[in-house]
Amino acid sequence: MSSTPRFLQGTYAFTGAGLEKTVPLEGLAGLQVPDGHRAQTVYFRGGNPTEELVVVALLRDGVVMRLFPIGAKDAVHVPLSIVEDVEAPSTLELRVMAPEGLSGSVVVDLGVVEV
Amino acid sequence: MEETGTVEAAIPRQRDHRRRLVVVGNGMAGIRAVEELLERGGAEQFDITVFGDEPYGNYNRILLSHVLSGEETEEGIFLNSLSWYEENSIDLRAGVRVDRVDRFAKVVHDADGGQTPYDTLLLATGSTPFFPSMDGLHLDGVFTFRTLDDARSLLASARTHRRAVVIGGGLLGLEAAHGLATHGLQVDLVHSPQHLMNQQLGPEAGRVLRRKIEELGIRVHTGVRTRALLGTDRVSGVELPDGTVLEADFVVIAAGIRPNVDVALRSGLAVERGVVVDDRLRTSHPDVYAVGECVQHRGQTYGLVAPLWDQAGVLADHLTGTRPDAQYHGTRTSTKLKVAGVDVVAMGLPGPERDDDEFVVFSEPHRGVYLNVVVRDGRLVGATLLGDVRKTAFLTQAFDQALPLPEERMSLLFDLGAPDEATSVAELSDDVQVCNCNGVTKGKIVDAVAGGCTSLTAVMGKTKAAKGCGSCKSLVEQITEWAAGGELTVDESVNWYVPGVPLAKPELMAAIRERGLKSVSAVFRELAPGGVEDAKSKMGLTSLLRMMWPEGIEEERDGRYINDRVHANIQRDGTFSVVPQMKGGVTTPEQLRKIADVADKYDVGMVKVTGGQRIDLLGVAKEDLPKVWKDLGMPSGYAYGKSFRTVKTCVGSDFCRFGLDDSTQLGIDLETRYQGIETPAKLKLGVVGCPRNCAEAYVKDIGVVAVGAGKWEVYVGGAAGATVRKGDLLATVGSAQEVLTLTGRFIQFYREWGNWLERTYEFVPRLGIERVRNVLVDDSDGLAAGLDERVQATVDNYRDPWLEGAEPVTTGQFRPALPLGMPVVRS
Ligand SMILES: Cc1cc2nc3c(=O)[nH]c(=O)nc-3n(C[C@H](O)[C@H](O)[C@H](O)COP(=O)(O)OP(=O)(O)OC[C@H]3O[C@@H](n4cnc5c(N)ncnc54)[C@H](O)[C@@H]3O)c2cc1C
Ligand code: SF4
Ligand code: SF4
Repeated sequence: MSSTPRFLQGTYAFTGAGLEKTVPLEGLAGLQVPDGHRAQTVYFRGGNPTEELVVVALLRDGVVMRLFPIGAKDAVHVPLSIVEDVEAPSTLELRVMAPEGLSGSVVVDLGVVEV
Repeated sequence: MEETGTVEAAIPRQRDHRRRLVVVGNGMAGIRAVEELLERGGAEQFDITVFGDEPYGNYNRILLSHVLSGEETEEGIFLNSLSWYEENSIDLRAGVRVDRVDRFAKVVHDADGGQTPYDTLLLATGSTPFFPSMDGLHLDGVFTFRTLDDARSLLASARTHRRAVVIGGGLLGLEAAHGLATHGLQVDLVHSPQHLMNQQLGPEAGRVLRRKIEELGIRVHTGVRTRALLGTDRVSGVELPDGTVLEADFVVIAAGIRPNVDVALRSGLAVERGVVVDDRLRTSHPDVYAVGECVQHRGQTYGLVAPLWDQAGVLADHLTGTRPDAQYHGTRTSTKLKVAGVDVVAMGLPGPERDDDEFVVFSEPHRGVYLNVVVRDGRLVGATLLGDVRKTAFLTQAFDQALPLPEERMSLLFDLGAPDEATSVAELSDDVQVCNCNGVTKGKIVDAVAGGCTSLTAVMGKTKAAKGCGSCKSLVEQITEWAAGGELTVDESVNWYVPGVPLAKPELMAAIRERGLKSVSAVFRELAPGGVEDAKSKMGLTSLLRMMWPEGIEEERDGRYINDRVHANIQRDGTFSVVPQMKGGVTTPEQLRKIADVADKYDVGMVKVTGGQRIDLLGVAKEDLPKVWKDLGMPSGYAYGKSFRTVKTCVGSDFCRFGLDDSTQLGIDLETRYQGIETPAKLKLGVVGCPRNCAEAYVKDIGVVAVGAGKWEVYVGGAAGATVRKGDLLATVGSAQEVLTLTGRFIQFYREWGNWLERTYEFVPRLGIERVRNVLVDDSDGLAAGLDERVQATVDNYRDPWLEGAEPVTTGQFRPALPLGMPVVRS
């Protein structure tokens, strides 16, 4: 057994629906934990080029696990050194919460290992 | 691949209920942690695997200095033998380096491609030597001093080279320099700070230490950086900034150490100067712990052993749940060391820092003594003791526990009618660490005594106290005495013939005879407690058995010293010296020619006339020994054995105008008769033709002096070595024949009653010459006839060992490598 790194990363567009409501990152597919494996998130990095605060949410099977707020024109790096295992066949997914009508894009990089 | 322990095991295996603990690093901290764990019943909870990239069991690194200086053998420094790992069901992967830890999968990847899963991981990877940046570090002949292999390389270089430069004047550098100097090398020590051991000592103490070091013949250069190492392939010198070049056949870099964080870094753990751990020794990743020199705790890294004992204890408390709230709060190191033979104790500040700090100093550079204390607000905040460390116990405690100090500050350094040793020992609190090398507190010593150890040796055996650098031995002794309340027993074992069999010589001989034991292993099997073999006892037993069974014993070659195994004298450089027999110092032109031819043919390093009137061919390679003997065609001169060696004679009546009798002939007769007989220690004889004593017969184990009219005086128990003693007159006899008889009787008596390795100059005074005379001359005990008979049997069974050359007794008897007998394992 050994661990395999996986990433959810890239620059993705979105249109905000209010800071309370998650919307998809256009074109970013979720990460499905394959059978017989489990996954741990290791870190999150994010960049927000817009003029407003946005929040990136990490969801497991549609349920929010973690929130990463990113200030206007700012970036964050969160080492998730306390981790919990995500068992198969769950899906991990990144969405965003942003002021209504704000359209822009965010840079995300979620580090995951599959064991 | 090995099946157990790897995830890819072909057959699924029932996981046992225990947690899998994997330890990376088989050094002092890692194994100490395992020992502490076992002590707390950890064997129930953990299935333990230990990786160590050195191919050995676990040894006391501190004692490498002693190995280098020759005070300790390699075997002597092992802490846990391989059987210890087995007994505790620890899977030791010796010689296997760990590359990386997959902390998500919880698997350790090793350099052999193995994968070992863990539940709990412990990193104890120690330190690595630091290389200051300079040119030439890649050259051959550049060494470090950290591991047993390093010590071996240094020893090998010391044998074949003359000049060494040591870079670094801290603990390690001084130890290396000292070790090399004891091998007769010319040593330069270069240290870039202004004074030696600047980490622990102030400038003045550093200067006193320097004097002591220079007295050892080491040239010390302080305040000097090295610019480059010179040489093309191999190092030839060290260049200093002013252009000076110190010539060197090899160089030792001892400029400091750095925590070995390779594995931690590659595995993504938080690393600053060392692997970052919290108060429970936990790293940034759950289930991964670290102890020892590789860790950084509260910003501190450590380079001595004392802290790692504390760490190992806390870790074991925590992991086994014995004391779940155990925490490590750092160690205030007070350093107790023996550096290059000088006792050094340093704690806290080396000197005053603030205006109102009190500073008491005593310095006597000529004697190599320097003492100081720093007192702030009535509390001890620093102390340095160099050369005289009697006040260590009190000062350590005052420092550790911030005790109030006596008004008279001088009494901190000297006993001015102040508490005598016993009271001060009594006052020490139980948790004061007495032996730093092995982490033993006063409490543990007291417990050992309470648990039935009633002698110093027993306490040392039980606790390991004073088995490191030895600087604490007198304190351990005081505490043991105090704890035993005067009930201290002398070891019974001092009366044993050999340490491994609890019998004095007469009882041992009786038991051997009764059971007819004819091999060393049979003696162990029948007479040693639990039938355990003891390496240190083998030589003595072999000698005893050969004496008791002159017709022959079941030979086991490991029961002999190297010299006896190959019938030649091992020399400093690992070559051998060959001394052919030359009875009474008399030789012939043919013998001389033959010796000269052999010396040429085998290119021996030196031909030397010995103090015992023979010719020594020095520098013969081990594998050449049988050929050399064959070409010589002469019997062995026994220059090596614990046996009858030689009879030195003067020319006596044949040629000397003073000669009263034929001393030369008598010498030859004695040597012919008793050649090769094994005795408790070596035996050297002399015969002279008159009391002018040209062949020094008065200071021989047995000396014979002609006094005229056919009479001879026989002296026994003389010595002219490290001990000088004139022999005692045993008897004056009327013929050469009587000399032969009496000598044989004495030899046999000594063989039967002498202790192993006891020279005659100890043996004769122990019994008293009157007693010896009564038994041998007056036959007070009716032993004489038996002695004569048994020595005759030995004489009849004589066989020249050099004949073995043609037909080695064991394979490898004459193979080149030194048989060091190390417990090497490779998996
Ligand atoms: C010559 C000498 C004299 C000393 N004298 C004293 C003294 O008088 N007093 C004192 O207090 N201290 C002294 N010290 C320091 C003392 O030896 C150390 O403090 C102590 O050994 C540290 O223990 P450790 O277990 O942390 O490291 P080590 O004992 O160095 O053990 C670490 C072990 O881990 C192994 N290892 C490293 N990486 C890996 C890997 N990736 N895979 C497998 N194995 C690995 C190493 O090979 C090594 O065997 C001396 C040191 C030396 C070298
Ligand atoms: S001991 Fe006496 S006999 Fe022998 S050589 Fe010397 S003087 Fe001559
Ligand atoms: S005096 Fe002793 S140690 Fe020195 S060379 Fe002679 S035998 Fe060896």
